[in-house]
Order: sequence, then structure tokens, then C-alpha cells
Amino acid sequence: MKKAINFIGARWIFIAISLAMISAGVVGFVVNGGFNLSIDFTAGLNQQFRIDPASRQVAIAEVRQALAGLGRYDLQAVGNPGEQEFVVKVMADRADSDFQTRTETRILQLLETAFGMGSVAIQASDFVGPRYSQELAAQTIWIMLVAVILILIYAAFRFRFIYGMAAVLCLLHDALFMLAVNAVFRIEFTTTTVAAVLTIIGYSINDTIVIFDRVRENRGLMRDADLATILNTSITQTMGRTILTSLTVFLSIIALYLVGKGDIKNFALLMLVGIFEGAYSTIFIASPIVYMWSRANDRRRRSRDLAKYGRGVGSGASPAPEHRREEAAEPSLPEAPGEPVAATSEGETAVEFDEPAARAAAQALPAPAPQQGGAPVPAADGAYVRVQQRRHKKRKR
Amino acid sequence: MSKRFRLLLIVILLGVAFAFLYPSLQWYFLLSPEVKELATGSRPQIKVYAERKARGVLAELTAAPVTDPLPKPYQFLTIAARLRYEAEARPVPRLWTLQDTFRGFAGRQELQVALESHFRDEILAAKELRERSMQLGLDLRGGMRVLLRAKTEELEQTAGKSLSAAERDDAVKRALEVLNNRIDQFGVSEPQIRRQGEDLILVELPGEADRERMGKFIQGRGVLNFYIVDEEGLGIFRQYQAENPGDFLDAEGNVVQPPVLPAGTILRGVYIKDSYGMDQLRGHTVLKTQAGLSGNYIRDARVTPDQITGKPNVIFILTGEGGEIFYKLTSDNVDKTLAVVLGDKVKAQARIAEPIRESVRVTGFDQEEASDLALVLRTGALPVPLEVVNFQAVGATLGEDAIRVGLQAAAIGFAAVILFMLLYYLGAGVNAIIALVLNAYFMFAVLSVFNFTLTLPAITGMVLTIGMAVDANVLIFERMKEEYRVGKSAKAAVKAGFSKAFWAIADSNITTFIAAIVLSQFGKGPIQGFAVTLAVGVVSSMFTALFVSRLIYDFSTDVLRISRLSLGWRRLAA
Repeated sequence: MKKAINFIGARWIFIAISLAMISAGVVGFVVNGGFNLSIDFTAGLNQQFRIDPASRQVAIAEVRQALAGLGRYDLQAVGNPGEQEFVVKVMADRADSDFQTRTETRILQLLETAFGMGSVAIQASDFVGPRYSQELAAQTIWIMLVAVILILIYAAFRFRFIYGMAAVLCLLHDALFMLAVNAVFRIEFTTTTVAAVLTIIGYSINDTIVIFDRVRENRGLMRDADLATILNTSITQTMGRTILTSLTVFLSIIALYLVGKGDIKNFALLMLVGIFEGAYSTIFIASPIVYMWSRANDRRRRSRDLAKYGRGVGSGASPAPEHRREEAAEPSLPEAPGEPVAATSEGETAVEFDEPAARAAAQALPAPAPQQGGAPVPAADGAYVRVQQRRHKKRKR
Repeated sequence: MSKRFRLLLIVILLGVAFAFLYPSLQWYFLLSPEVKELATGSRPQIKVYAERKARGVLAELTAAPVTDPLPKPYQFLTIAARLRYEAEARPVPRLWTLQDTFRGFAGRQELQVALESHFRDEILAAKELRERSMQLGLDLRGGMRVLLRAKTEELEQTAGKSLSAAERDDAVKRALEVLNNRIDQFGVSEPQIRRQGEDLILVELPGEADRERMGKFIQGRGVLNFYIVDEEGLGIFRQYQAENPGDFLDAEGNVVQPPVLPAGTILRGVYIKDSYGMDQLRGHTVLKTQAGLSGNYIRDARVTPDQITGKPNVIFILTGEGGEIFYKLTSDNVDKTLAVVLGDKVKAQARIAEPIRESVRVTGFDQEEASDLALVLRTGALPVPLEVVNFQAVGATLGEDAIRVGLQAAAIGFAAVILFMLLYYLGAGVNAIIALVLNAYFMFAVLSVFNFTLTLPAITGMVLTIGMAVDANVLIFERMKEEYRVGKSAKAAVKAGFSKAFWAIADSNITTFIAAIVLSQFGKGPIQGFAVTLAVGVVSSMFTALFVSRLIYDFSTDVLRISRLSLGWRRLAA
């Protein structure tokens, strides 16, 4: 078998890289004064026109000058520069009820004055009214939230809580990174951007799932290994897959990027960023989150046990480590009053169990009653041995 | 499941998918361009075409010697003729000559009707086919798309009270009816008018992006009007008509003005709706060019039975201002005829018995005509002001450009993925490609049966799906490699590869599906097309990767007894 690469050991490097990239996005967002919102969200008029290259060669600066009479507007060249195709964007004037038609005629008028009658062809126009744009903006936030929550629910249902959370954190990481790229490079934020981010949210979890599936399998195979080794092995084993699946999608999107223009090109670019970022976060971020979270849980538990039972517990009968807990604990009813000590010990173990349902079951257990066994007694070794034996029961997926 | 059963299931699904695709295939590959063009025309145009063609054929048939056999293209006439022969117990001829055929019809008129309805049904069938086939979106064929909002709050302001949900709903419904009626004005192109949500109306006009026409359509000024019939002009026209018989229509179904009419008058056709729901020309009348009253003054219209005769009356109520104008008009024109004109078609005529101020009663219709007229009257003016919330216009050239971009991207993406799979996986790559091609086939079939409109974002979704669909294959193949490497037989490796990769594939596809479904609720336009294709693609790719690929593998290991798997360049097993 291939040697496992130590991803977990180098986790701080990757986390630092991700944080740096996202911070750069935040800085870019602030410096650039927010996203470069399209008329989908700000209300306004987009007009695409073509100045016939046969009748007149123009530079974008000339066009900009010609349209100066419009007041505040935004001009961009689209497609092949030789084709002389441009898009002008004008924000809607809320007070002007006739904004659309008036602006359309004004644009054509200004262009024809500058470049001659008949040399300008309006190719497409797109008007979004204020009410629609407001609705759309509100909808965008909702739709993102709903998608993430639904995927979180699904992940929590299919995986243990920590794993589900780690997968969703990765998604947020990818989405944030895409938005960061959008903000830093001032790519126009349109409904297509929303589509790209949502598609990545749905897609990039795939590779994470593949790794976690493998972790689940390896937990059964590598009984004596610690969590870091299991994670490292799983990532190494599935890394080829992560790269291959990302590569195929990458190939198809490259095609869109190469031939598309305007909105489609921006969409493809963002998707490429998202796919890349998805593969990165799957390999370098998802598992470290699981690792650190589990360790934090272990540590917390240990310190709590320490506070509760004194020094004896930690050394004498330390509970099973986080990644073994699933097999170790079976929510059990308190046993007959004749064995209060064992019951208490098992009850405690179950409380730390990860599955929400199991946790609920564990919480339903009665709190250990001090008067039953007098002072809290450190868990007897016998109880732990019994629990360990249960580990061999294969857990159903 | 046995292999035979699975194969049968796949074959059945392929057949069902073909049935789904059939209307689209027929429309795009089998119909002649002329029929297609006619089928995209409006119903009145189809009617005019059928009438003309029937007349031409009739002239051709009657000009030929009666002993000639009936030409092949018109054999359909024998079906009706045979019925008549049988009814009259005459011997049915074995070989139909023209004479035999003519004898199967009561007269020239009946033959003309038979020809006409045949030609009309032919085009209407094509039209229906078109409605069932996958259509190109406006971004690909050019056209305009307007999202209108009914400003019910303004309606409330004028009414001075808040409206109930039902009242608001009724106002939007009526606005929709108005717009639908205005379609008649549009001729060639086929507008689509749909209600979206509570107060939004989506209007789509394919073809040239003509802003002015759209503006007219939405404002719709002067669509329904009242005119006074010009008796003198009518007399002149009747005389002219007697000398020059004909329908006074040009190829587009517009009325041709005869040269003899006095100035200030205009010839209009009188129409009623026939059994096809099309306006049928019933005669002509001559109106004064100046409208007497605009339909914008109508506040409401309803149908009530006459108290004495029980026949339906149409009663319409004018606004205060309209009442004044109408009173003046009717007092000046007592005993003359008032015509209700929708667009340029006379829909109803009534004699003015006395001056009318506010509520007008029009009699002499059957129930259906009366409710139609009430609808026309009610929908002449928009019941609620509309505002444009979203407007998109795409020129036809840009649309062609978009098609080219979409096709190129799809072709390049497809080729790149296929090449990669072949080069990386060799034999297994072929399997993946079969799955990929079938996936595209199933996707088109499903989208086609839902009457999906193909847009550029939808093509984007398809291209993306190509890349995502092979993911499942990659996961399976990698797993198979692993199993094969530890020394399992080909058959065992296939089995383990599929079963162990199953949950990873299912999980990842379900999350993508969730995201696509959520996205499909976003916005009111193009993005939905993308989301829907993505969702359909996810489902169909799962089927082809898990079910079809598996069957191909099972077939090659069990039936062809292949013992060595081709999964790449490296030798995996001894």
C-alpha cells in the first residue's frame, strides 16, 4: 500500500493559506466597495450594441466619451475585440417612471451622433425594475441559506455530526473563496454568479463525501491506528479520485470558458475557481477540521472528567478516544440498582456520543444519583473492558 | 435482477425516451420548412392559407378533363366521397376519376370545404407537434421577454378601498385576458403569455426585437372601440361587391380597401368565432373612420338573461366621462347601427334605439356569443395598470451567435471528456462513454416531454452535466482497480467496485440535486433552465452510471467470459 502522506501534520499551513485567501477577499471587498453588482440586483438597464467594424474602427475610450452624456454608467467590451461589441450599464433612476425607454433612445442617439447613423446596432437589451431587483437580492440570501441548511441536514443524517459539519464548513469555505475572487477582480455579480456558487455548493461536497466514506471504512479496517493516521491514509487513498473527478468537470467547463462570452464566460471562470477550490478544501481542509474538532472534544471531555472525578479517572479508565466512540458506546438503560457504579460509567460514556439521536437518548438517562453509591467512584476497569468488547459489533451504515 | 430483465428494462426505457423525443425529431427533421413556417403563424393566417389553397386546388381539378384519375395528393377526398356513395347505395368505383370524386360531394361548396379543412388540419397538426417539441428560448432565436406586474395597489387607490385577495386575483386574470385578446393584433409571431405567481405576467414575443410593437401591445390603446356604421358607404360597397365578388382579403388576412368608398369611411370585416375558435369572416360593413368611443371607458360588462324573452343580453357599464361621450354619440345617431370593433374586426353590431348614457344593453346573441362579447367588452381596457419589472430583448443575430457558442461548448466539452476517459481508462473508458451518450439521450428525452425550452443557461447545464456524469464512473473504476489489485477476479472486482462506490455516488448526487432544486426556485427566468437541466442530468447520469454501466460489465464478465479488466495503462493483476 502507498505510504500515507501526512496531511494532518501540515494542517496549519493549509488552514493559514485558506484564511489568507479569504481575508484577501474581505480586503478586496472593502477596498472595492462591495461587489460589482449587476442590474439584476441594483435595477437598471443593460444594453449590448455593436459598432460595425466595416464602417468605423473605434477604441473603447471613444465609446466611453461618446456616452458621457448619460451621467453615471458603466461600459465594457464583450467578446472578440475586432467585433466591437460593448455593453453599457445604466443604473435605474427610481424617480423616473419612463426610465427604460428614455435611456434606450438616449444611448442610441448618443452613439449615432458620435459614430454616424446606421453604424450602431442594438443587439440586446435587458431592463430590471427596482421592485424585481429588490426581490431578487432578498431571494439570493435565502436561497443560499436554504441550500446550505438542506445539505447540512442531509450530511448530518448520513454522517456523524462532526463529519457533516466539516463537509459544510468546506462548502462555506469554497463559496466564500468564490465570492472573494468575485470581489477582488470586480467580476460582475449577477444571477449567474449565484448559480455558480450554488452549483459548487452542491458539487464540491462530493469529493469530501468520498473521503469520509473511506474514513468510515478504514475505521473498521485499521483498529489500532489513531485518528490522524486513519485520516491521512484515507486522503491518500482517495486523492487520485478527487483529482480525477475534478479534472473531468474542469475539462467540460474549460470548453464553456473558451467559447463563451459575457455572462457564460464569467460563470465558467467562477466554476473553474470553485472546482479547484473544492478539490483543495476536500484534500487539505475537511479532514483537519474533523481532526481538530474531535481532539477538542476529547480534551474537553478529559478536563471535565478531571474536574468531576479527580485525577484517578484520566489515567485509570480514560474513555474511548473520539473516533472510536461510535463503536464503543451503546446507549444503555441504567442497570439494576445492584450495580450503580457500572451504570453511571456507561451513562457518562453515552452522553459524549456524537450522533444527535443517541445524544438525546443519553440525555434522557437519569443523572447519576450520588446517594446511590455514596461519593462518585472512579469507573471500575471492569466496566471499560465490557464496553470495549462491544466494539466488535459491526455498526450498520 | 437477472441480466435479461435488466436489459429488457433498459430497452423499454430507451423506447419510452424515443417516444418522448419523437415530436421534437419530427419537427426539426421531418417537416418541410414551408409547413413549419405556416405552423408558426397565427390561426387566422392558417385559415386564410387553407382557403386559398383549397380554391386553387378546386380550380385545378375542375379545369382538368373529368375522366382523368384523381391525382395522388388529393386521394383523401375519396374517404368523404365513399361515405356518400355508400349512403346512397351507389356502387363505389375502384379507380376514382375526377368525375367520380365530384359525384361524391353535394356541390362545389362542399368540395371546397372538404379541401379547406384538410389543408387546415394538416397545418394545425404541425402546430400541435410544435407545441409538443422542444423549443428554443428567446436568447437563442431572438425576441423579447417582458415581465409585467399588475399594480394592484394603484387599483386600490382609485377604488378607495383595499381589495380582497379574490378581487386582486380577478384583476390580474382579466389583465391576462386582455393581453391574450391583443395577440390577435400580432400576426406572424407567436406570443406566449403566462401568469407567474400572484401578480406577475410574463410575455414572450419571438422574432425581431421590435420595441415599438411591444410597447403598443402592453399599452394596447384603442384596441376595443365603438364605431358608427356609415349607411351611405355601405350602400356603395354593396353595389361594388355585387360587381366584384370576393372576400376582400389579402394573403395576410387583412381587409383590402375597395377604391370606391367615400372619404372618412373604412371597410371592415364582420367576424364570429367558428368551431376552431378562429374568427370566421361573416361579411363586411363600412364604418366611419373616426371612433365614436374608446373601450377604455368601459367599467364592467356582464351577461344577463332578458326578463321577457329569456335571451341573453350583454350589459356594459361606462365610466362617468365615457357616459357623457356615449350619450352625445347615441343621441346624434339614433336609428343608426353601432359596431363593436376589436382591433380591426367587427365583433358585434346593434341598432341604436335611443340615446344611452351609462349602461348599454346589446341584444340578439346566443349565450356563447353573449359571454364572448361581454369578455371582449370587459377586456378591451386593462383592468389594472401594468408595470415592466424586467425586460429583455435579444436580436436574432445574437441568438444565432448564442446557439453557435452553446453547440461549440457542448462539442468541445464532450470531446475533451471522452478523450480523457478513453486515454485514462482504455476499455473501461468505452463503457463510460456509452453511459455518457445514453445520459445525454435520456436527458433530452425527459426535457422534451416536459416541453422544456432550450436556453443558453440550459445548454450550460448540459455541458456541466457531461463533466459531472463521468464522476460516478471514475469512482467506480478507481474502486474496481483497488479490488482488482488485491487479487480479486474480474467478476468479483466489478461487483465490489459497484457496491462499494454506490453510497459515495448516491450521496454526492443527492447533494448536487438538492442544490439544483433549490436553485430552480431562484429568479424567474434563465437560471431555472440551468437548474432544471442540472437536476435532470444528475438523476439520469446516476441511472446510466450505476445501472447501464453495471449491465455492460456483467454482460462482459458473465456472457463474454472476459477475465481481465481494462482499467488503464498499468497492469493491475497478475
